Amino acid sequence: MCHSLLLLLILTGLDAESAYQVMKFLAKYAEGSGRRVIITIHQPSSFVWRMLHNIVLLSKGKLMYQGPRSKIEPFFAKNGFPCPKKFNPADHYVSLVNDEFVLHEKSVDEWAEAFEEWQEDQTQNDDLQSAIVVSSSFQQSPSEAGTRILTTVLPSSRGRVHVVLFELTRRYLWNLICNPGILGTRVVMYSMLSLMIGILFFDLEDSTSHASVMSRIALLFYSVAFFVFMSVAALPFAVIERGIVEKEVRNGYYHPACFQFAQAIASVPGTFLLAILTTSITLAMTDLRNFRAYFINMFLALNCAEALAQLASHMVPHFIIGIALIAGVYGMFMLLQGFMLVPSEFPSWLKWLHYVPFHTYSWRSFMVNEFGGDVHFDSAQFPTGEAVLDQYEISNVNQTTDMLILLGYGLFIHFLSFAVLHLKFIRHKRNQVTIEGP
Amino acid sequence: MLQTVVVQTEKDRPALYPTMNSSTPVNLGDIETPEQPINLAESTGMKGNAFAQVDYVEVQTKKEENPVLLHPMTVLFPESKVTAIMGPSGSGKSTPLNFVTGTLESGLTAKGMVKLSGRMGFVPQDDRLHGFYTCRSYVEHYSRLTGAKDNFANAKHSMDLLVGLGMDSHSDTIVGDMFRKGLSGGQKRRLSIALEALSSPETLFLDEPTSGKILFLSRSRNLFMI
Repeated sequence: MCHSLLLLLILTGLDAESAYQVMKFLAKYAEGSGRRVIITIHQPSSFVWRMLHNIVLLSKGKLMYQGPRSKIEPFFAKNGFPCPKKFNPADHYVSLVNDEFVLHEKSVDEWAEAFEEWQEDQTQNDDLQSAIVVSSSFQQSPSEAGTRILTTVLPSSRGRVHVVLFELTRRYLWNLICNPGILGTRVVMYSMLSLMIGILFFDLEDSTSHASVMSRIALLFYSVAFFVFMSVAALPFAVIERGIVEKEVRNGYYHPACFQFAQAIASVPGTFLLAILTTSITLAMTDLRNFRAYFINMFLALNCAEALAQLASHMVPHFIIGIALIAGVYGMFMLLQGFMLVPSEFPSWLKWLHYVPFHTYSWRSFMVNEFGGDVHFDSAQFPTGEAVLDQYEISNVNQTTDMLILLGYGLFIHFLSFAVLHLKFIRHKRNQVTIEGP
Repeated sequence: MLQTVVVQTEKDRPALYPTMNSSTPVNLGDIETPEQPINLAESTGMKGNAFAQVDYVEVQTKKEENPVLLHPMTVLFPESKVTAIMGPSGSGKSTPLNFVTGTLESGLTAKGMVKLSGRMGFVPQDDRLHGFYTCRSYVEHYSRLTGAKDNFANAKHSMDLLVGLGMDSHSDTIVGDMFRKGLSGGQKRRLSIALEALSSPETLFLDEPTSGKILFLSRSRNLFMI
């Protein structure tokens, strides 16, 4: 019991300091500057209460009181409920207007009526009184009001675009380096998996058996399917980032397109590092062919995966749903990429689906990279590399074209992200139609 | 700059309250509206006072049970003052804030008018911060983001803000995240406020700036006071 009390006091001291500093700062921020501070607060402690100037008290969407803090006590006292001595006034007033509180005396409607009556008793010089009187009597011709509605002039960016882009790109590069969740954990996972591949398929290239051919095909499928799939690990952090960006866009720091651009640029070094790691470890241990082509393919495929994770992060309400969504999409892409079912065996009306996944272009390029050219095996089914490619109906594939497709695929997903963010931004702005004063 | 914002959600009641599109001027003379927006500031000459005139904020629902989130009201926000919107849980405290800032959630219809001068800054209830920045580098980052020049005056302004919030002794402490320990909850809240106050918005909105552990404090103090 004593330990609990001690802990309570320690926590209380820390929080009191923060609350005091915050309220002191806010009062100073507003005081004499012509600026205003508007806060929502559930039930302020008594010392926070004393630092407030103006109170708006609501209950069930109705106005219970508004005006200076100094006048709230006269209002409740006049209605027979003055704040008892040594009692937190905020607690008292909030409890009084809460008709779900078991000890409540008046309903919300009764308090709303009481406040309206109280307002009418106030002096004519009171700003609030003047406003209410005018609001009920002021008339404005409809056509006059209509012509004064203009497009929004709320700022969408504070700094110059190139400065904002540079600053955001720098932020996301630092985030990439300093936040282990974004890159660090994946570096470890990708390295471990590449090592495991290397151990299991050590010196695979030196073997020419039929089994080695099958191993090569399986390994290349895994390279596309699983390394791409692992990019889902970035999604939770992308969703967290969304909250920060929403706040900054709401406060007019920049257009969301700037964020999308900066994040796309800043994700490149991460995918580069992951691609170079997996390529180096895998190819060094398995001796698979053509380091450069393998790396470019892996890099572009990971870029697509990164872009898709970013797109999903803009669309889902929670990162768990995002992970489920991405997992579902990649599961579908693996089915369609041409490894489990060659293109000619697709139902005719679903053939087009084979060309939808970026996995298709990545995997078949890996295959051409490995089996293209003058390659021979000790296998009756696959005496040459060309026979393997024929089996999967990818002998006519052009690697350069596929790499360009992958590059465009990634850019297209980034464009979709931009479109989603822009639509959200337009919807946000639509709620802020400005009328310019005369 | 005098800036008056009409808040009207996208899916409004079609017959009486047509959707107001930001790019298309709407002639209200062609629309049968029982209540026209009234510019109280102009009519009363209260240039210093900002206000929110709420006609309604409702949940878009066919059910008739309590769809109204905010009833008609005119709320004033006097300048040079700290205004607190208070009420019991579920009283709709955040709705006026979202109404004023034009960020009502989807599924609501709203009509009314808001007059605020100058730029607004909003500090949400949850601290949305990057964990790797220190307080000082975060303020510098926001300073650059707002286009402020990298000079002595701006650097002093940044440090003054941290001092004003009692954060100067933590200026080289990182915010912290799930991997690294950093600022406490109250310190993060103070940093969030410093970041938004940096560009001196004329209106600073804060959603529950003393929440979290402070609620614990408020309860314990009440116990002593009773």
